Amino acid sequence: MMIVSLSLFASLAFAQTTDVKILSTINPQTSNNIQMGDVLSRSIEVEVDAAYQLPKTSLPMKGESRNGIELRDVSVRTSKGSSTNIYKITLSYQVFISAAKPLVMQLPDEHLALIGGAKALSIDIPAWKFWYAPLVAEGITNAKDNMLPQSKPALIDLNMHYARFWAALALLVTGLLGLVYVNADKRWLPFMNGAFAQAHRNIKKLGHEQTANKNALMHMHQAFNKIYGANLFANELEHFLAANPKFLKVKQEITQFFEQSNAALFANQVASANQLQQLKTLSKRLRDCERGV
Amino acid sequence: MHIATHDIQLADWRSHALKLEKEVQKVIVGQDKAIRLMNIAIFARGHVLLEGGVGVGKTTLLQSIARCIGGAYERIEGTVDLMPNDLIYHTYLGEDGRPKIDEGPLLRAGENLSVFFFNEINRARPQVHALMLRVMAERHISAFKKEYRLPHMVVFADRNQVEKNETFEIPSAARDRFMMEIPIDIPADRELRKALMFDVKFQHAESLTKQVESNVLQFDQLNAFSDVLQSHIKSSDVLEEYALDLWESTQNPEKFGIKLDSVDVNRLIHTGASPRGMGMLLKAARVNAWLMNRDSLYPEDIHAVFHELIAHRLVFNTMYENRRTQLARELTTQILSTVAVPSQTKSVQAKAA
Repeated sequence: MMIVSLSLFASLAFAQTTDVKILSTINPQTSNNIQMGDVLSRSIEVEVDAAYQLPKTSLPMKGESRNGIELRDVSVRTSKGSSTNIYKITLSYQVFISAAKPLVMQLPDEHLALIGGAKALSIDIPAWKFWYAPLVAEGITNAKDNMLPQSKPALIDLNMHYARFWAALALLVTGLLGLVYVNADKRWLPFMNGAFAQAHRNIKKLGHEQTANKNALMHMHQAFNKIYGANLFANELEHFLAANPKFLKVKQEITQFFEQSNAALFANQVASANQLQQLKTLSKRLRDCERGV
Repeated sequence: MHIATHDIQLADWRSHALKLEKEVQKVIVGQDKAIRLMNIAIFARGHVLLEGGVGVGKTTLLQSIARCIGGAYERIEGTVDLMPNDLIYHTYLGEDGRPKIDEGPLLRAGENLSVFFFNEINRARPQVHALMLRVMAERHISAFKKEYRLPHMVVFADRNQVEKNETFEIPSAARDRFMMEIPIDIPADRELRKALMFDVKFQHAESLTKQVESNVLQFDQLNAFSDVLQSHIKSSDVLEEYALDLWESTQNPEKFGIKLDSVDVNRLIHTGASPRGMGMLLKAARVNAWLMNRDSLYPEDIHAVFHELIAHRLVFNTMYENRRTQLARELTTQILSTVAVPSQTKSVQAKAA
């Protein structure tokens, strides 16, 4: 447990030469119920004549242990006045002692020698006493009896997480269903028995026989005729699209299809090598329009 | 070289044909379809039966077309007392008081006759029909101990289907000689009707006709060009199968699932289209393909002329004859809507083969 709160008292607790002026001293706020492992910090701010300096060698060594008190950290902040140097020294100690009963301990006194001046001066930091409190009474063997139940951790509210989980799950399922609806090609799917769905299935079944292209064109024309309710020809496309606006987004492809179909069926033009593949693609696109995809 | 010459010839004649339409459209409004059909008939060298009421502009239309074609234009009115001889000659007293005989309207222009208009043909007697139909088929006639050839003649006849008094119905065999029966209706568009009523230029038919450019076509070369045109336009196997299906559907519409409201289709047809009629249908369709700047026949070409080529050739059972105009229109429309191309049956057969 760390004790970080400190108390400030301005009265000078120890004597000092006039060349070393103590500006403030801050000791730990609490002087009782200190336990093993606690960290205690204190700091002192002093003003010294500019002729004097505080060398690093005067500082106590980090890790030094005295009477169960180990120096954990030392820091010095220096600032310069008009004719003085101001040092703020912070010492951090940690208690490392095992005792079965309460006892009085102290942060050790420190004497930090100054150099540079005519006199031999030092910054004296007095000892600071406190009450050490053992973790358990009468030793570790009775620790079990002395143990107190831990406070029950607060329960996390799962309702929000459940709601998010179900929403995500619903989204996932909807997305999957959507993907299946868009990409799968099964007769049992909704709206999968429309004219172009049937045409697409029939065209997919066609092999590479000589009449495949013409049969594919026939399936496409049958689908157009079925939707239009009469034979549909190129000069009636505007009527067809006006009556079936869901196909408007493939208007250009439909127009091209009728041009190609007329050329293949009536002008005896040789079909391109990939015409069957084009018809498969177009029939799928028209099927998607038919299904509102 | 030969092909290039043909192509130039076809393009040149096509531009003239389209010009003819534009010229006639300048003076005849709201009859674009009829003008196109008559243009097709001219290049298919077929005779035309016009159907329409009185004062709808048939004569002006014919005179305008005759002016564009060039050659001579003759006209005769069908009446109950009209006799075949009246077409061949007429007698009159000369200045010297002696009876004289002169060539009638059919012979007067000789080989220069390009358009012969027989107004109200159904008022003429069957004898007159017989003569006229023979001349239409053979394009020559013997009179005054010599043979008159009429190689460039196209007959436009008119009949009024509404008025039945003192008329003689044209028998089916006679109707079959006409390539087309074209309806000339009053334009439905109000603006056009307004123009016909208030624009004074439409009140002077003679001066109206003179606005049309003359001799846009060379009438004496039409026969030769027609042969070139007919041999140039090709038809695919699929289209030929389709044409055969259409023909069969005029004979057995029930076989193709054709239905008409309030009519038993099984009992409607007595005789369907004739081989001559189907030949003429394809001839006219080829002209339409050429006018559309194609060298192959499309179903749309057949559709463009189907009703006008087929409707008057259908022979209905007697009980339906009095509704012929309406039923013929419905039936041809249903045939075009129902008979599929490419035919499913034929494709399946091809697949099996």
